[in-house]
Amino acid sequence: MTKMDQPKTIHHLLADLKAKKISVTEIVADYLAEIAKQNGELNAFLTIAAEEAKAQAKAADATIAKDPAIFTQKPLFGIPVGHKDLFLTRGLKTTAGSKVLANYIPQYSGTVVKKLENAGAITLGKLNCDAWAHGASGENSDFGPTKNPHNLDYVPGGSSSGSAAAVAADLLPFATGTDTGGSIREPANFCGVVGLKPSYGRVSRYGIVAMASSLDSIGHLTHDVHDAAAVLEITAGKDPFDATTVVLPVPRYTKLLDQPLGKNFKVGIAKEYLEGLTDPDVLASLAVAKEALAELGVELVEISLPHTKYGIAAYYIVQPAEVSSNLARYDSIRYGNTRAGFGDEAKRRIMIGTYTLSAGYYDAYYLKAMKVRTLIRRDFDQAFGQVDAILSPTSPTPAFKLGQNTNDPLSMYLADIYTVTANLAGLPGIALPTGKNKNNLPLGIQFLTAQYTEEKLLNLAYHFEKTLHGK
Amino acid sequence: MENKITPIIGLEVHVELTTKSKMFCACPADHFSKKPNSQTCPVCLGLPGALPVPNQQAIEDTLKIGLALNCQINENTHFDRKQYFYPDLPKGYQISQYDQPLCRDGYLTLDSGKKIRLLRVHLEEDTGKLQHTVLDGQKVSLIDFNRSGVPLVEIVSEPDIASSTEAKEYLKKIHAIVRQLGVTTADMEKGQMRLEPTVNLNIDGHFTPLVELKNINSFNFAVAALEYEINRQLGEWQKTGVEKTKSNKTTRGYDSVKKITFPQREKEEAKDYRYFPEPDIPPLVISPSLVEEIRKNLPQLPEAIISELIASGVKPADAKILSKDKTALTALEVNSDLDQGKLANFIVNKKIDLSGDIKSQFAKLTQAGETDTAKLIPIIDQVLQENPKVIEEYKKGKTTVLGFLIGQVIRAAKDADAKTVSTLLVEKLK
Amino acid sequence: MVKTKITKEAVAKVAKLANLSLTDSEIEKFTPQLAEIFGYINQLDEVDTAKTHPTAQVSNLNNVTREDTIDENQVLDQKEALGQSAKTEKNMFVAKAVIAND
Repeated sequence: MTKMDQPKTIHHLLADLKAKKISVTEIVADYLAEIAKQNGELNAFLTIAAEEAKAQAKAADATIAKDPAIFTQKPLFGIPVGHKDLFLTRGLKTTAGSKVLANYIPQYSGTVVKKLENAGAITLGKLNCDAWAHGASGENSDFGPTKNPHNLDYVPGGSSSGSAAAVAADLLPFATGTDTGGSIREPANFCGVVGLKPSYGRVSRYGIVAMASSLDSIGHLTHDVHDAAAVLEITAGKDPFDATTVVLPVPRYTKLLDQPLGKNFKVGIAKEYLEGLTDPDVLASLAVAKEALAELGVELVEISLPHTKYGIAAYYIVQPAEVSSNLARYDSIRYGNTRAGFGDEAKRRIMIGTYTLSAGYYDAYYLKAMKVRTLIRRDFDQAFGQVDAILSPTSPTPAFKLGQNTNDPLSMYLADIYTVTANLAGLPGIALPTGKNKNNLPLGIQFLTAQYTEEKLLNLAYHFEKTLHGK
Repeated sequence: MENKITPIIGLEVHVELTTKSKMFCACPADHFSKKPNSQTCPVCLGLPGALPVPNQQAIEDTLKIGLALNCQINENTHFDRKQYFYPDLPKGYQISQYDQPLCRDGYLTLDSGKKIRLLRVHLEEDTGKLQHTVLDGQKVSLIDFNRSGVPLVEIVSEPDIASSTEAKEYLKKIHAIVRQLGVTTADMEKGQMRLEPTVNLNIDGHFTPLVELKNINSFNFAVAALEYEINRQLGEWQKTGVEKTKSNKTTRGYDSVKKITFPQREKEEAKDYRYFPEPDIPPLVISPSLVEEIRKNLPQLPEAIISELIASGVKPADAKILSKDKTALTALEVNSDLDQGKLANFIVNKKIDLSGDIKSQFAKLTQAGETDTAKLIPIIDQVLQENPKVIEEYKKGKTTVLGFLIGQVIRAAKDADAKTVSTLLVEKLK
Repeated sequence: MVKTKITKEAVAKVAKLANLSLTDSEIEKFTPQLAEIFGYINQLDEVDTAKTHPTAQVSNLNNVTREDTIDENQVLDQKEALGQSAKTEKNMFVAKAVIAND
């Protein structure tokens, strides 16, 4: 597993490419070889586009030879990427992790896929996930669970399970993901990689299988914060095909990373997050984080997010309602297999959602949840009046063993306590590794900042990472 | 013992807008006679991951219709998902409007002066088209999604309509208005305007169950279906006495060949559309200035034209005819110094060549009319004097002899307008 | 407040509304699971929202529309549109017959 100790980052690969130390063909060949070696065990990739990737690599090398300035035009030129299998890729099978779409070959590519392609990235394949993004462990995939590369008996987290595992196992320099209730941040922590969930509306959702339309955030997993910033520069921005994307200009995030944190930079820790938190690993991880922040001269402040405990209830009303609606199009007439192919978790969420929207129940459930959502948002608005960022765990425990929690849907839901409120409020969040526990399982934390302030989030994350890993 | 029977009719009209592109995507909206499934995209085909972006023109067209129908415009409005499963509905939901439509609380005035209240005018997307057939021995539906996503405006009246005649008038007026606004060609044969009456009866204070009528493709079919249905409901009532409840509304189709309505199999359960605000589309805020701009630029509508003509002295029957004649309207406007009522009447009776000198033609005609009267009175007196027996017969009730008297007058006058003579004679004979 | 009773009948009804064909044993399996989940989410009853407006979306946007123009680049050609369907006939999609309700 030496690969994982010195993972290849995007910026290192680019440096090597520009210095002609390596070719794109070699890069792609190396990754494909590693995937061939490890994927049988990890089950991170559902589809590997080997031939297409090799052809693109060859063409890329020819371009570099002719036009060395290509890297200015295309900032990710020659860099391999893997897409969570919710991202539609034209001509390349896209399953959403579900038997319902087991043979679906999309007729179009989504905006983020196209933006990354236009920036020069080369798609190596499609990554495993909980079916329809319903899950936090990867175990709800209809194509077998992905395993945690740090310890194969453990889950990698979910729903972006394949994305996190592939980056952690150095099968990719970066992977796309979605985060509706924690599906980038939690697996990032479980796998020890960086997971960025941008603000709602910062990155286009067009061409990505919708889970919950008002909650889905489109992000990515990388080895470090610099890479996370570099990818966001490409994916962020208003999209005429997604009416919920914001018009705000996209900052050059990479250029703002090492700006000094303001003198009065404050990070808040919510007392509600600490109530009932008993896992020693998670507590230790928080302690490591606090130390790093102290070293940075950041002031730690206790804040209150009073409606935290209602976050899961509100989330598990709004999300299934939107899920039940978004999955209505899968009727096997125009594409896909019949609805009998939905797994248990999908069926449960469809039924919960249908029920909470139905006549006589809408007010008590969906409308009520929308009102609680207002209160949760208000909690954060007030908090960000006092602090610049919020520190929190992403999960009450580190990665757990495969099969451990699969019999109890509700207990799975309860583990989302630290992640769902950011989606309800539309906030950006980043998951960062802090170390490992005795079982070699990664530990980590997350930071949250106010909506549309990714530059502040990445700035803090960059300094935090530098402090922890002495880069 | 006569029952007092009052039909209670509400009309729901769907109008297909003739925008260039569809409601939520940039596919062409004109789908008539196109190769099946040749005008679709991820959005209107309901592919995974597709997202809707609303058509600004369609929104403005809906506001035009609402304003022309005297509606209030909701400043805060949004789209909602209306959820149900049907093969022609690719997403499993239709993007429509539920609790905050673009327009509400309007009215349409019938010729009689009766106001038909409008509940709402809202905007939504159309579905695909189904063709029923048999394939490999199985009953199937073939689906063409070219029409899926075309903008549709729904105009809903209150149940203020009390007869099939009123219904026809209402429909014809709506049809004229939307065409005049230029937002649709409203071609009934192309299905660009669809009608859905709901009808029940008030029989001496008892109400029969509501019936929604479908498959009505023309105004005449609407009249026939309503007439049939009114009679049928009366018969049903007399037989069973069943009254309207919250849950016994039914749907019936119209068979234009047999000229009957027939029950359609019920859709599963009562319709629970599980409306909720469309999360993929931010809400709309309709500014008062946009509303004013649209109102300012509305073309003058048939109703308004007719009212104005009548106000200026034109007879209602003449006003109705001339309201559609742009040349005639211009002639009246340009010659506003002339008696509008008389001028309009001359034009309707084709006594004026609009391409010629209108003022001099008018002068001649009115003079002729006046001369006529002055000239005719002595001749009439003469004829009456010469025909006392005829006068007696007339006074006894044999009014047909008037024709004889008119003939006598015209012969004596050598040139006279029969109508004028008749009027004068009748006056004299009183 | 609405007291929800998640019974097998309620589950069967909701499944039908959601176009899911569940077997009897599935209904048996899901009923207690859904009952437990609803038992949990019902705690929102505790929250005082009498004076709170609902948040339907967090885009902070309004009036996002598009010009009425055709973009041929977005239109799928007939073959592509039909290409992922298991069954087509005369260039149309095929569905099992439904009640003729138009």
